[in-house]
Amino acid sequence: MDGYVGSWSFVAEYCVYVFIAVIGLMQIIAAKWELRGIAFFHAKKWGYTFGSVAIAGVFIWFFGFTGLDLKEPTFDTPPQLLWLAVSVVLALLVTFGVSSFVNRNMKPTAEPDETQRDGIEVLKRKTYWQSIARFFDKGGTR
Amino acid sequence: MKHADETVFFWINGLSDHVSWIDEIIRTLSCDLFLPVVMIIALIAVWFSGRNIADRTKNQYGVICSLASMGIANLLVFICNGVLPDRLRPFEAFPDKVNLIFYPPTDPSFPSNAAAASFALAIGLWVYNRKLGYILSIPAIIISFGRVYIGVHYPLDILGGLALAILATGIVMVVIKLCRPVLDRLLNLMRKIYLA
Repeated sequence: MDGYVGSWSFVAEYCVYVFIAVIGLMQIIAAKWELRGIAFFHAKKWGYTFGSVAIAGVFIWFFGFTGLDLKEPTFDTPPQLLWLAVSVVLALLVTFGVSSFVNRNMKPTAEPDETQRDGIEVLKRKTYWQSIARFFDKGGTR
Repeated sequence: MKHADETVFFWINGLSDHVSWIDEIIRTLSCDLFLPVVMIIALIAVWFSGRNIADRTKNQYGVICSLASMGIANLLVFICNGVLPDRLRPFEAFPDKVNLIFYPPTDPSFPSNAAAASFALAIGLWVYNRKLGYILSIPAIIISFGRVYIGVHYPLDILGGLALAILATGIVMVVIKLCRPVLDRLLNLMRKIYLA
């Protein structure tokens, strides 16, 4: 790849930018919708604070401190979408992993009317690991 | 039509290259690395949002429609670029008159890919959630204005992009209607693994 914007260091910086922004976003989502199972913090205010600072900080870093020059060509659309998708998936995996570890002592509770249709609603009561482990324990039927 | 298009272009592009920090802000807002990323992040937030399952399902269909519309809009732009005669970019057609404060793109000017993709994201979501669709159209409008301001598109290119975004969303709506059972199954599968 030629030049700064086509270089692997640019790709890495772009991926870090999206990755951190999505990590921050997920903490805001966890706080807003009380998804305790994917939250890094018990207190909602820390979720909002962490998320806001992560998003604002990574935008300022990427556009202000990486040497990005917008008068030079950046990504074509296909590679940009590819690295965006990779970064988003990684950020979701890390969020699920870290939150499952941080909340490993959370007592999983099941609502009496909990069904397969609940989806992410279940993450209010269980970590992602607890939920997915139960899914596989029951042969994919819950 | 062409004259009016160029007149409006020069009026908007003439606003640039006077105040450097305003140029810097609009250049940043117009690039592919800022607002499109904000829009995608907003769609992730929409995916996980909703007071109840019905609300969330509606939002998730909005996200599917939005992303699919963006994909189809990009495809339509690609087809247009192959079929329509190439329109020179403003900075190529009027090299001495245009304030180019961005890198010079090499693809045809008409239609605007950036406008098509960003409006497709907004309109796709608007179909399922009017309020969020209007909110998402704000970055699309900023990107579109910015592309004229920085000297890489005529206003007509933007309108062409908008028309393709509407067409793309229409196509996606028909496909979603036809594939509703399949999409419902896909969403149910994602719910089983706590991703929807």
